[in-house]
Amino acid sequence: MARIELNALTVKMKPEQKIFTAWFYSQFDYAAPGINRHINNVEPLFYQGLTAGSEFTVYAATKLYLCLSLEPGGATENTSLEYMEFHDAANNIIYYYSNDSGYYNVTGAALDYITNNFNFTNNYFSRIVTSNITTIKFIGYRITLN
Amino acid sequence: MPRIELAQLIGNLTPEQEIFTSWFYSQFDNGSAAHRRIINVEPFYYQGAIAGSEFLTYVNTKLYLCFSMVSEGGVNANILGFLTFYNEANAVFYNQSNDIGFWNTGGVIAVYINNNYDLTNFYFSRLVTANLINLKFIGYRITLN
Repeated sequence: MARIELNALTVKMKPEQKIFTAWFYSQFDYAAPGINRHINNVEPLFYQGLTAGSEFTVYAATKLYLCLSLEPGGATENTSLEYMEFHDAANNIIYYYSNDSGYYNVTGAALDYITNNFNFTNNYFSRIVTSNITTIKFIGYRITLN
Repeated sequence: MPRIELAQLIGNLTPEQEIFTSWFYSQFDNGSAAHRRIINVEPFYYQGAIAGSEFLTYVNTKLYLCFSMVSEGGVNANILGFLTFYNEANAVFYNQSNDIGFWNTGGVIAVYINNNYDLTNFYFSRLVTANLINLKFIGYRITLN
């Protein structure tokens, strides 16, 4: 897949997506000499499946995800909080996600947390780290920088 | 209903739907010998009981390309309410829930309230439900050869 210019990528987008995508290109496609900030490839990407072993958990200095929709699958119940961390282009944590319900399980003498679905839209990341989130659904683009 | 070509199908789709649908066609319409060609694409709407619905039945030539599935709330039960989705090989690969739980001291048991949730742009071959009674589906029923 080749590079997609910003004007072509945003033709059918909603205003939120256009603002987000335009900002993304302004950050990662300004082609300053000597700085790794030029978009080489823009690949449409859909994924629905296990979080473990997926490409989203691996950091690479030239790989970013331009995410239109990311949705953790719910239906798990654990005694620790379920959440997701997003890491930025420099592999630092920039954002957290959770959508849990919790209660005290008297019989188990512990807090129980229920993971629920939530559609998180228009964000970018280099990788994710999850706690107790077993499945995810991603719609967006895999970006390769030079 | 005959086959609908990808170019026609994505005429008015949102960017998310285009990415999802293009991926779906790349996976299930690549013309390999491994049972991967789309024969029929039927627009499909359903609102009603999950029990007895066609979504529960696995057939290796049937898939659902789903734009929107809302599981219905209004249920109060003693086990977690959720949907489990199966892929083309009839293996579990995604779940959905939107529950709130609390401990009922009078009943000495956890109680779960199932709430509505709109799960968008995904596919499955069949689903299994726990405690969710009704659902609403908007998308396509896909038949492979």
